[in-house]
Amino acid sequence: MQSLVSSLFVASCILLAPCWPQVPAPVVPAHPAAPTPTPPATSGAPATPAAAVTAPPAEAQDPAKPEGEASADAKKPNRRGIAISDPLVHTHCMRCHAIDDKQQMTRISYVRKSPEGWSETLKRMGRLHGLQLSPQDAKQLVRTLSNSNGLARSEAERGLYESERRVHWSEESQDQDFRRACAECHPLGRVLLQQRDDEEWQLLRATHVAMFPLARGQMGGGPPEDESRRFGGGNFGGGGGGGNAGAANAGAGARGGRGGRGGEAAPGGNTPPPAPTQSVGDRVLQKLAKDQPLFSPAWESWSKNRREVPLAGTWTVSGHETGRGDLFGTASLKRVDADEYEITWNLRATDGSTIARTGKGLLYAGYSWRGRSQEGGDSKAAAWREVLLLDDAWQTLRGRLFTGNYDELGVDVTLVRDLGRPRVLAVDGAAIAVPSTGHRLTVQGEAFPANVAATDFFVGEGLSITGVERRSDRELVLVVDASVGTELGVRTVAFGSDPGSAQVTLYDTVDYIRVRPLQGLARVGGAKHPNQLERYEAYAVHRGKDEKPYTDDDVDLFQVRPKWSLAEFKVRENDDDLQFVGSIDPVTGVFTPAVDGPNPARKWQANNIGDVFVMAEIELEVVVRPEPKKVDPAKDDKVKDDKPPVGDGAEKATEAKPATPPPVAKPAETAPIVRAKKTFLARSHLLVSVPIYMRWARLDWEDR
Amino acid sequence: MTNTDPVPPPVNVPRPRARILACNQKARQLAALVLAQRGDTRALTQDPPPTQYPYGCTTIFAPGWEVDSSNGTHGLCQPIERDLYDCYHTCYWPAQVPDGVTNAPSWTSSCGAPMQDWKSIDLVFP
Repeated sequence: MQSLVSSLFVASCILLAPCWPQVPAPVVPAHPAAPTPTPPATSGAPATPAAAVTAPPAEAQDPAKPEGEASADAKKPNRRGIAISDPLVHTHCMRCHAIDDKQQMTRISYVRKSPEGWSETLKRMGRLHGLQLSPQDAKQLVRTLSNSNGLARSEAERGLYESERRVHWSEESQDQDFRRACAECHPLGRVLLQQRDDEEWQLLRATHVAMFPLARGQMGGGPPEDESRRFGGGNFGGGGGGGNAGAANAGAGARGGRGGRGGEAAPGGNTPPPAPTQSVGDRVLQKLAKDQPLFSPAWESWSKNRREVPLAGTWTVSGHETGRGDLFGTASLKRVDADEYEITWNLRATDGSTIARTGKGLLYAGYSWRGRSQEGGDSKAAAWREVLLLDDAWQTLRGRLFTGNYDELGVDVTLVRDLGRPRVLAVDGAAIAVPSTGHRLTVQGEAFPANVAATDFFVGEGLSITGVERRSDRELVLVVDASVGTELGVRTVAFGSDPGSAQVTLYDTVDYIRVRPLQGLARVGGAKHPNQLERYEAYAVHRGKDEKPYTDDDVDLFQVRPKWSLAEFKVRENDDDLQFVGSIDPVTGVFTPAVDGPNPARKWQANNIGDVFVMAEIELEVVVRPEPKKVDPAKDDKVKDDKPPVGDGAEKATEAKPATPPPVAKPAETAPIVRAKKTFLARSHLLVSVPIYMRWARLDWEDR
Repeated sequence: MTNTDPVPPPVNVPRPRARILACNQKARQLAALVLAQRGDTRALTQDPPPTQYPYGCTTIFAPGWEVDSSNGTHGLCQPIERDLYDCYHTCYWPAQVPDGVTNAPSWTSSCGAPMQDWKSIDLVFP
């Protein structure tokens, strides 16, 4: 039976392959649920029944050639791929993916991905195509494919936020077509972490359309005769109808086109549709083939210089965890096998708590670290996953440690390799008031000598170091004075001959406080499904060099601990979200959503979802900044309104500048410092949503 | 500020020239207060409407679960359990809901009426 199916499949490939060059875009293959078991990976390109009818007769197949490759070779003799040499890949994959004399395997040799991408691929092969793998083999396959067909450093960095499983990130700057075709169902990071050749990008769309037929509305991929129907508005793929020109007019044009919701609506509703051969999917695939080719200069360079990158040793860690604050410490890596390490984390947070974790990790393709660690080495304790990326110089690892039901609890970390010479790597208490005396600046670094002196350090003009307290060879405290009139701004902390990179900020007073994240997300849970928490923190902020608050150059000074509360974000009469969405801890700023499921106590038995404001309130004693004295008040009163404000009238009006700003006198440097207690308020928007029922990439092979 | 504040017209519509500017200390303080109110957070239904909410499983929300067509939460199908199987059967949102076409054809087999048996609905870990 197996051979019969295989023969049928090969024959269909031979019949259909000659039609491929005439078809501008891949077409919908047979329904996956159809009884014919079509191995998806070896066919090259699916085709319509009509195409099959017009195809020339099948040619005799060269028995020496692998299945499925006979006609493909004739059409694409110079297609360059990556040789697959691992016997384990041959063993598990060759049943569907034919291999040629250059050890190039269909599909596999023309794709490069992140470790998570290969892991997802293997899971899909098992789920849909009967691949049976032990966890050990699966992990080994991910490892070997991520090395032979992995990503160069710059390629892995492009979509690192996806690997890091971040909750807060933005793809707003990405190409509008790209977002429209791909981001309606998943983050663009998944796409950014792949490299393919031209044909493979086309096949990616074909696979999507085959597995999720309504993706055709976003990505195109239908036969040419269908294009006019699709652009006409709307009912392509099951019904939504009407396009979404209205949404486009409302500033949400990117929402067009998920299957069933209206096809590819033209922006604004009145714009002529693009040429049928240039659907959104076509444009996106062309761009991807150009920007993310199989062979990029970065990958070719890395491949030629491939070697095991040594990571063993001690690394100085600095990091930040939302709510908890900054963390400092070390990570020790011990090599146990090629690219395989044991890692020990010893961190201390600024709130006094400590973190001691041990675990293991792998370095994929020379740059991408993936690890897991447990508190105190307890294998039963909750594991934190580690995603780090090595820099080009092999000196710094940056990334995220994370856990939580939705990977929402994370620590951003930077690891710097020990070099054995004294230097400053990070500072705590980096905001220094001007003027001030006795400011304690905690310095993290390495190899500080026992006889370290204040004169070894330099922190910039206007600052003087009056004392140094050495706690260890990795940590010491500098006592710093800032004299009156010192220019505000940023300074770098240097030690001896090392210029350093850690910075301190000089400020005169606190202008406002800022809440992070500015837009939060939580998901109800706890009754049946796990919930997603959201954590908040607040920072005192200085207005920056432009002396205007709420602008891009404002500087965070130090973390404050406000009182947290929720407030209604009123969008309708009798808005009741506040009663149902959940609660926030007034001290820690941790929001815990309410339970999932319909709520009988709420109108329509609605879920406990909604959106609210998160409010922060704190009283601080701050310096009262002297008012600048006007040199010529008469000029200041002259209103310059030659140019009408553009955009938001009220906001622009307040920001409008006179053509010639009146000169102002700086406050006298000897003016007495006045302090006053001031209440600061800030807020953030919180969206409480529903569970996600499909948890891609949630479980690792060990957990399955 | 809430979204009950007046929504400004689109930028391509000529607007009246603003002739009132802060010209003394008190007015400047008021202006700073207004700026502070406007600058602290930008919620979904406030102006200007963001084209993207930068988190979640997708980067672009469509009328679905997280927010509705007006970027609020009050026009959604509620409770979600009423609408859940529509997304499943039409393969409408395959990154959030198991699709009945390819990956999870038997997802609903343990729960025929999600409004009553919603606790029988499993998460899927493909």
